[in-house]
Amino acid sequence: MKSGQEQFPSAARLKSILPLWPLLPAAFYLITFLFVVLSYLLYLSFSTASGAFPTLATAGNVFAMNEFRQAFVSTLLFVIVGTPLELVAGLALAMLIYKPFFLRSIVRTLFIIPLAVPGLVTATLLFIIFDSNGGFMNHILMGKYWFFPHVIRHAVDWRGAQWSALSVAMIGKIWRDVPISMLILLGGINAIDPELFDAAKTMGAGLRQRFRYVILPLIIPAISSVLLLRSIEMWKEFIFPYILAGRYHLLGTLIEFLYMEWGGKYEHEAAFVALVLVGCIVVSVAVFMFLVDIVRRMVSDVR
Amino acid sequence: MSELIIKNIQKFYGDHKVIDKLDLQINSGEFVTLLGPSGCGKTTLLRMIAGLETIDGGELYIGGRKANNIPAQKRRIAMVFQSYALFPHMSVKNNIVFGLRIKGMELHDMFTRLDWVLPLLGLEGLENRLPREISGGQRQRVALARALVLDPDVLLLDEPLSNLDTALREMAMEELKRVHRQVGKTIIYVTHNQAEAMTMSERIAVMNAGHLEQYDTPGALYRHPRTMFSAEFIGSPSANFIPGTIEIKNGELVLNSEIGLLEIDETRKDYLRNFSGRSVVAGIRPQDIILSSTRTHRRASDSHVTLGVELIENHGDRSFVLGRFENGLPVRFMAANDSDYRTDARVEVLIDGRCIHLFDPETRQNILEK
Repeated sequence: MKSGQEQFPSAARLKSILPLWPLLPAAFYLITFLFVVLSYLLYLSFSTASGAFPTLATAGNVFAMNEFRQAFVSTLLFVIVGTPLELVAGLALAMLIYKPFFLRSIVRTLFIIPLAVPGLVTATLLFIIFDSNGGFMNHILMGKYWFFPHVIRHAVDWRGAQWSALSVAMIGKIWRDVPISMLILLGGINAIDPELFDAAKTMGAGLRQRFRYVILPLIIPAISSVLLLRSIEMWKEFIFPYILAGRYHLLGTLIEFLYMEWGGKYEHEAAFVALVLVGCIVVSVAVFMFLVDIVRRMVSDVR
Repeated sequence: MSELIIKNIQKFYGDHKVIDKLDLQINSGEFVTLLGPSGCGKTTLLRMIAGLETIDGGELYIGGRKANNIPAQKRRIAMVFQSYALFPHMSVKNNIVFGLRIKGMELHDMFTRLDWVLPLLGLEGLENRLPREISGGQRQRVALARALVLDPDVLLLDEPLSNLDTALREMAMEELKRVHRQVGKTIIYVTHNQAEAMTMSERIAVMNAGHLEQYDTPGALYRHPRTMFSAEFIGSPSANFIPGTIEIKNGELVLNSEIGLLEIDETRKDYLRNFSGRSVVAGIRPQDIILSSTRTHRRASDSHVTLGVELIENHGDRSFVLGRFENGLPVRFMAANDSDYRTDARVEVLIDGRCIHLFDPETRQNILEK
């Protein structure tokens, strides 16, 4: 027969578990909420309006939609082009301000300002700037201002074609969110011991070589974070394409379109597209992590 | 040729003068240490030599070339940092050949140098380890190897032993001396540790508040300190300072100090007559104060002084004694452990007049070192 001490957790064990107890309500809430949402999403995705479940009819409907295929390709390109662009832009800004210089804090604040502007406001501003009729961008390119040469003769309908409309949306997205990438990368660069740069200098490394051999390998964790977080954001993007490229859907806007615009007839299809979006995010995260690992091997040393 | 000349060099941080018109000449192949307390500007000077800090005034010549405006990467110097600054993502081997890769050296030549430096510093077998996988002493050797393979004109070492424990530090000091003897490079070594400086250097530049106090061999620094700072900073424990006046009593030149009359060595008397009536500060090393009971013979230059023992620190072979003269002035001296003394006892000590350094209290310069 076991002794009382063996039957019940020891005082030390209880003491080690005790600090975790306050987390239980939050953990319960998160798990339940995630479970409810995901399970309902799965239910809707694999059922029909007539009540059939489980069925692949909804999936079949979605895959047969021309809008879905276009939205999928557009979103994929949005992620593949937008994420690296935001990374490069963020890295460029971080490299500009990682060293102390006069008025650095002001410059850093200026770089962060876009983050403070709501996406809807930025998108609306870009809507006006890229307007085909009297938009600021057309005026600049048509040489109406002294500071820019005459480049085009006729106004361009920026939002009238799929790729230009989505490009404008991407510009807006990157402009608004690049401070996040910059701050993550800046944190990574600032975490590098400055003596490593000095050591590289005394060994003959110029700016480019210090970037290639010291900074880049040592900020791989920060780059991974940027790629991971920003690619997820790119997949989910809604407001910029919704305002600036309304007719040319990404997966995010297609969900809203299926759910709202067609009178609620396609809520199961909308749910399935949302499920596809979640799947895309999971797969892209795995692919990005794989790529980051390859890059890490390339830029750092093979023993 | 890797001679290094520093002329009137200056460095400012804003209005604050960090290096104040400093002159220094280091011969080719010499091992020189910049020694001084924290904040005296020794690391700043080293970084100016390395090209990591700008030079605000004066001139720097490395191997006969004016180097003021030559960027760090073109100065033909190599530096070992206090933190070693090894690239954490690179193996030992790749850390060592990093500079050679940057210079675009052929792979064959690179490996020839690697094969030379690895046994020189006992790093065989560690080539493929990452810096985090080796000990502090091994990291220090990797940093040194990384600097040596570059075949620099001047090797700069910034407190490279400060992160090592006592035993490792002693081993590293021996190793550095051995390496210097083998490679014959000009070495400039920065430390605040006088033991390191005295052990390894051919000459030591004692720095204080951005200026050079004394530049001499370790022996000369110890025996002939030119300033009170040098006397205080060099030697452990530091020198005792006793104010007094040079006077003539009964026709004899003596030092009338706060602890009583002290004899002046016969050989110095003629010179010191010119200073009769002047206030001075006598600097006496703890090693030059001897218990009377341990000395059988007396010298003419010996002075007898009585003091009270307050504290005894046993250092194994001998003890460091903290006492107080009758006038209340504290004093430090060393005594053999078999000597007859104990805490709170009153003992008589001998101060050898030949070992007293006399300083001007205003200029703090040694009046005996012309």
